[in-house]
Amino acid sequence: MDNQQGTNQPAQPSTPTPDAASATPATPTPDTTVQSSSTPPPAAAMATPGATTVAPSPVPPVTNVPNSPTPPKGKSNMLYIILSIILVLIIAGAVAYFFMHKSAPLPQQMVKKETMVPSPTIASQPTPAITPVTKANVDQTLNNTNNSIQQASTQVNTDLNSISSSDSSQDTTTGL
Amino acid sequence: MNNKVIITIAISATILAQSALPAFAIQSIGGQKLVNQVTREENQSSKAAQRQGTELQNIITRSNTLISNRIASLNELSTRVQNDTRLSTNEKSTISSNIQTAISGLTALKTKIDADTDATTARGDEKTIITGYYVYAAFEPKTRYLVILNNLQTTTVNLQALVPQLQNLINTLKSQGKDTTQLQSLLSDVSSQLQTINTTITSGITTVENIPTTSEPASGTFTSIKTNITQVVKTSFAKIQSDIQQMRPLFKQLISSNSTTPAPSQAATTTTPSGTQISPSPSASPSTTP
Repeated sequence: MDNQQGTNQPAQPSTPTPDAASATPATPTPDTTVQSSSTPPPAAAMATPGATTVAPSPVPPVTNVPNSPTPPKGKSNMLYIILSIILVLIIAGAVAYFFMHKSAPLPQQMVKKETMVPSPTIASQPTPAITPVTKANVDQTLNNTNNSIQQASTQVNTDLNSISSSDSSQDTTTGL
Repeated sequence: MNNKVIITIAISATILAQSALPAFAIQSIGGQKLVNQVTREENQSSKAAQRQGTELQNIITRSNTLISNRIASLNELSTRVQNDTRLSTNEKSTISSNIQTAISGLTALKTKIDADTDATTARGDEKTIITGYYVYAAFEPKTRYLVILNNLQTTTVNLQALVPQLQNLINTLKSQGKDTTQLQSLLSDVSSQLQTINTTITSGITTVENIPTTSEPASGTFTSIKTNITQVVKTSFAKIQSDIQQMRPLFKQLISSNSTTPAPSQAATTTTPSGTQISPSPSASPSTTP
């Protein structure tokens, strides 16, 4: 990049100035106006002191462009444009590259987040929440409560029978 | 010549007689006794060793049976605890941990007894199967009573949570001009019974938890707990069930009735509930089941 700019930029002022200097005797006005609009050439202004009255004439530069022998000026503009485009492209590439690398972990993080979401595991049966007893569910609630008491009572009977059937006399050391 | 022959024969006869003398000595009475005694002692020591070996083997076999029976009972107890639906996670964890500790201890004891080389040590280890665990006399009943009491406590807690809910509904009905006197009385009885149950259970749990498993529990230790459960707790739960059975039709009646039904003081001003509120929706599934 630096090499390109370094080689092209010095060539731009050098190419038009000799042309302008050589053109001033033949067609003084158009060339001076064109040059004054873009880059003031000191050599041309110094060579023709009388041309100072002609210089401000507002000749449309459009007519001069095809006639003027300054295709290099257009070329230089084109060069500027191409260089700008290349520069923009390079910057755009660099920015894109930067953002690609910067945003690269993002999808991974997203994937991680998705995979890290744990499936709901029930460690233990939670204590059933008591829903508000309303007129609509009071009968069902009381019925369920009655059943749960009955189940608990039945379970108590079963466990008490298990205890009774356990022979504690097996835990004697006599005879050993 | 004859003399020489005679002398030679005499010397030979003497040598022969001397060499044969020990054989004749065994045949004597004293020698035979000695041999018999040695043989008897040898036999006795052999029999003693054989008897000790047999005894050791018997102890090992008996110990293995004792241990395997106890481990089987403990595993059955562990399954009972794991399958319980009313025990909390902490209760399950604590009880299961205790059971596993006992199983591990018995398994280690079995390994030791299997490796014992003398009957005396093996007999001491065999006694440890009993005295170190008291699986049937203390550990198993203790654990089962703990499970029973914790289950009953869970049921009690769920019922206690229901009481304020029912009280709110009774208050609502009362505010609508309904006569809730009977319902209030029944609910008060439920609360009272629950208090009795709770006190008995809390005391029972403390008693059971303090029963050691490394000594034989005093006679009657578990009997008092069983009596409290069957005569106090179960009776109180039966009363609660009776109260609930009486409350159900009363609630139905009050909900379905208009406010004009025995409204003691505010009959004139109460608003009548709409008929849509009356019927309990079958879809309503209260989650009060403990």
